[in-house]
Amino acid sequence: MGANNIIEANTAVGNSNGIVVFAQAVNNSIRQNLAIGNPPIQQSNSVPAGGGVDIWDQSPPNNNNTFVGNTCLTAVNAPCPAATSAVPRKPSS
Amino acid sequence: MKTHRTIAVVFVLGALVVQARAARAEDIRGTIVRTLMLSEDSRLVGDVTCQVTGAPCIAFGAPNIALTLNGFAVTGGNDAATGCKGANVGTETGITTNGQANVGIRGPGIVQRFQGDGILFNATVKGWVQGVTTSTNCMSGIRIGPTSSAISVESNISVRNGAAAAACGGI
Repeated sequence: MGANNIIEANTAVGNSNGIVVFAQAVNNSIRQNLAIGNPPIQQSNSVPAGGGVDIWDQSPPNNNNTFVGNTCLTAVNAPCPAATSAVPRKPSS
Repeated sequence: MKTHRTIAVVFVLGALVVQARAARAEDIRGTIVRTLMLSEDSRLVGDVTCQVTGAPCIAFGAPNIALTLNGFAVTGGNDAATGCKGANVGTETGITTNGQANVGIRGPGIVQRFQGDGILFNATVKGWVQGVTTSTNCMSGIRIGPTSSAISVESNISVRNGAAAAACGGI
């Protein structure tokens, strides 16, 4: 990833990593993406076993890459709020 | 009389210009055996199978143009079930922007089973990819190279891309 790019509203599931921000990346905005299940729990032949995460920021903190509103379960150097579980509604509501 | 003749000439010229613009889009389908270089706005009108080895399947050859996948698939040589088996070939990209500025790829459509990246923004200033599904590519589904900037990657789906050997993946 280079500079001044926008990664928005994408879905990344079952990849070796979900979203990777490389070390040279500067001023990128990663927002409102869904990245879950990277790598897949059930490994497929196309994605062999190996360590991976949903969002991986490899860039130094002063590169000004921002992460806002993404949904993920695992991340390195990026905020990763746990995906909330669905709460069943009460039958009377 | 002279006025009528002038108007008629203008109409004919106008029709020629409109016709020329309408004919600019290139329709793509079938099997590609050498890198297809896009020089104008283009669209898929059927599924595409790529048999290109060691080079991209589709490459942008001009700035300010777009490729519309039109609901069809661009498919490389990898097996759907076994994928790339852990090995990747960086030059075997599905679609590369090839250093062209202000180019885009519009979905819906799928780019799948390439030994390299599905879609690569390589040395491109201004570009976009929207509504595209990438699957079972050995490197990233969509990758923005380190010398590309002002790229918008929006509303795409990446599934089963990447290999353990490379630090890449969905996007």
